[in-house]
Amino acid sequence: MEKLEKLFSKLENIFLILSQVALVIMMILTTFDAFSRYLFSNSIVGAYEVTEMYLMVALVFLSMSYVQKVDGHIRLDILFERFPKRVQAIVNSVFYVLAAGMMFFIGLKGLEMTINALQNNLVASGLINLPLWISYIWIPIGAFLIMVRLVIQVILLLIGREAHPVKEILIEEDDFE
Amino acid sequence: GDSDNANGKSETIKLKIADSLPTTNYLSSEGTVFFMERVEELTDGKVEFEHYPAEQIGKANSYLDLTLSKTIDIGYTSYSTDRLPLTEVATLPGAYSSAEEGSKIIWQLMKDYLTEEEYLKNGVRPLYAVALPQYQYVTAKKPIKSMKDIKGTKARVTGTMELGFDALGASPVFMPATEAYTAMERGTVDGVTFPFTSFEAYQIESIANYSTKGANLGSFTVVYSINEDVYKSLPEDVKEALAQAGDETVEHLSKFLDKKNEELAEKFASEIEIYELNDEESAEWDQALEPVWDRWAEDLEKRGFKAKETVQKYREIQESLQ
Amino acid sequence: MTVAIPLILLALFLAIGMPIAFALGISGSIGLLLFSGWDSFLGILSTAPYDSVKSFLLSAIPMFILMAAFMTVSGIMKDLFEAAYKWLGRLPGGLGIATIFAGAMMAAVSGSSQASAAAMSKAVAPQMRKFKYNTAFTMGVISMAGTLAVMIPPSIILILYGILTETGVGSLLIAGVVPGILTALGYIITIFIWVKLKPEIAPKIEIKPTLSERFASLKNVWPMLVIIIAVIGGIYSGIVTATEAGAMGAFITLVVVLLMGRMNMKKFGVALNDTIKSTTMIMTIIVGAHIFSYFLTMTQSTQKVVMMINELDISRYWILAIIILVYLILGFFMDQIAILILTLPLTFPIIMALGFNPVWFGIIITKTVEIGLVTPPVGMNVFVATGAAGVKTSEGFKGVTWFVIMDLLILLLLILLPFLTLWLPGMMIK
Ligand code: NA
Ligand code: NA
Repeated sequence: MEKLEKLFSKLENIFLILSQVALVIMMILTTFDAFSRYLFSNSIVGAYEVTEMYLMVALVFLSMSYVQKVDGHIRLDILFERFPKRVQAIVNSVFYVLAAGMMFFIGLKGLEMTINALQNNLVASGLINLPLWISYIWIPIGAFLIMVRLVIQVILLLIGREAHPVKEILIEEDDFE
Repeated sequence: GDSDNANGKSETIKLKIADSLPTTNYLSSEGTVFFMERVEELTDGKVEFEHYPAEQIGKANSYLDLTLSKTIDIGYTSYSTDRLPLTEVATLPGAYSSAEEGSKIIWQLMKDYLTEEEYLKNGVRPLYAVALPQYQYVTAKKPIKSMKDIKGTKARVTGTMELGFDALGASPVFMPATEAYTAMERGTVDGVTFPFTSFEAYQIESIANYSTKGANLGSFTVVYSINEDVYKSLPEDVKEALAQAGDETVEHLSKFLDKKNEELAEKFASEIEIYELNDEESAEWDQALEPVWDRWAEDLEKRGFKAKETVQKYREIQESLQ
Repeated sequence: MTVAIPLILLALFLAIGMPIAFALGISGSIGLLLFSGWDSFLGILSTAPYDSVKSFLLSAIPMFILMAAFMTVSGIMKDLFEAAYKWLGRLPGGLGIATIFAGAMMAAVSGSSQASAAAMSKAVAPQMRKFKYNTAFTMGVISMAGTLAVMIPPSIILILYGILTETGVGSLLIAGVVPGILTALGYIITIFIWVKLKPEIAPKIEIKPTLSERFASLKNVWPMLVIIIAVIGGIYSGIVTATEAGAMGAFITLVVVLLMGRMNMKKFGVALNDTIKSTTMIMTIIVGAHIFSYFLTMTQSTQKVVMMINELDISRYWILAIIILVYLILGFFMDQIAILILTLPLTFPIIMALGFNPVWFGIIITKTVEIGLVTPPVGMNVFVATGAAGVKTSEGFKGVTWFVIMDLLILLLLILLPFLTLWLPGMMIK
């Protein structure tokens, strides 16, 4: 099981890196679009749509699973933290099974949207035509990734292991000194 | 429709209708609400509507999907141009000069051609279509009196107007409508494209100083469509009521918008310097924007849509109505 | 009855610690299944996740967080707070006051509470922790400072209100200035009183820095000043819109810290990762909140409550009071944008019929839904602040109590004295 988890984490990391790339492109594209508009009275064609349709969707969906891995989807912990470890594990398993179910349907519908857009050659039309499947595809990838992550965590909990071995690490700038 | 009305007239049919328009918008109060009321009257209350306005159950571009999934029965499908692109023909620059004319053409085109060619293929049926008054170029600092003035300006645009402004040598800018006001105030853009009837919704009149009038820069088409399975399950008299209410809404809303457009142009004239193009100038601008039609059509043909046939039929109907 | 089940489920899920995004999404999904059936469930699950995320307006969230993350990993935020500590450290809750000032500054560039709270938390929380400020107090201050973003222009919520009700956006934005400043003052007063009563939550500076030491600390403040001036200047000169400001802010910050030699690949990676974690956490909650609010819409329960109010035959101030109460209650559970979209088409006509001023009502309602951002069980600003700082949510809710009381007092003041809101826009009408 741990081996499988390690393998899956590698896959998860690839998508996390894509998500980071989307973040950096978003910063650069939006800034340069504004500069170009101001200095040369010329908006970068497609900057707005690319940020909205591709970068935002990829940024969020591709990292959902990683955020789940490090227990980053926050919760109200007033009662939860008082539960004994065993109860926490049981409660978490129930949560994660339900969440995996919801993610399954989100992924399934996203997959349908992607295939439909691909088959029918759907685009957001304008000066350049932006294919819609590239916008939709991050939903099934992201939803199925977090679904698998949730299932792995449930199995880990059931066999008595930690579901979130890596907790969130926070930045303290002292780390760099 | 929750209730299949197979056995008896006493049972009411509930139809869920949803859109992204605030209820204060004319398109809602004089369009959607008018349509619902007419259907209820024509069916003697047999049909009842549940109206979800103002993005209450989805963003503007989700209403086709929500209609297809039967989450709702009737949706505002105007923004689904990815799957219903041919309807955009009426939004091209110079497509018509008044909302009444444009609405007559596009609604006839829907009945003759687009319902089969575009809507039923996507599982929905249009109930009414209304073309808005032509969009004008509204600016804050720079008066626009000729095509030369447009060159090099930054204009907040929507839809096919991106092609038009590009053809005129301006820079089309996309931004949420919510930001149009501030963007114009601070010079992020030189101007925005809106019909007079949409000014108040975004408070454009309080920030703009100049506007064109009589320019045919392009427009927008309001379309409401019903899920085809739901439509088929309706009794004949209800279908007839929907058809009649649809026709009446097209006429009522388009006439209302034209009248309102004139009234508002007069009203705004005290705060905004309005430059009215004469017929000659208007025709000259139309001609300069003519290439947009080919660009639009060729692009769609490449993707397998019958855009050229659509344009041809549009022109035929336009001629026949004159 | 079917309406009640998902509401109870939501409360239960949240109470026993289900991640908030899942709790909203799952109870909303169950509600859709029970109330509207399989078709609606699948329909909403296909449109809501995509539409909630595919938003240019919301791109402000990752961009502002990224800006703050760059400030934090490079240590320039630390320099700023060390200077603040030397100057304000002897005041009761000095760093808290500095945070409120920073929040007001942030508010002038950000139009979104969540973006502001997340950015502030990233940047400020480690500093206040370092100076041994109480965690609940720290989280309370940051969550509240974030709410200033919506009152002080630019403001996504006020613009949305303007569009939904066709009220002048220009007037609304200007009208937010005085209530925004009042709110900031109110928070500072709250900090003073709280720290006077419980000095241990905000340890006073031990030694007294000399004047030259104080001025020496200022020489490290310039990078922050450059960034702030550039971003505010960028917004007010029209180079960027309020949404784009975060991207430009992040970019300028990156350039400044690169030029100062305070950035390397490791720090850059940490900043990216941290931004993604906070952004995705917030956006997943927004997806869940949409699913839940679409379910609520389909039951038409919100609409029915407002209809009932409409039929009451009592004084207009009683109706106003009831409407505000309903907004406060909705604020416990729902996202502020969802609340406005769902209810304004119904409440606004009532308020107009009663003869109240639309700009004033906009400010009142904005203030009211802002309070909902920090109240449990669904308090987005607290989630965002604690999530970004890696602190328990309960600490955040503990920390906002006194501030919420102050906020209610300010709300009352704004209701009783409409000229506070209407004076400034009255002077600036074109
Ligand atoms: Na603000
Ligand atoms: Na709340």
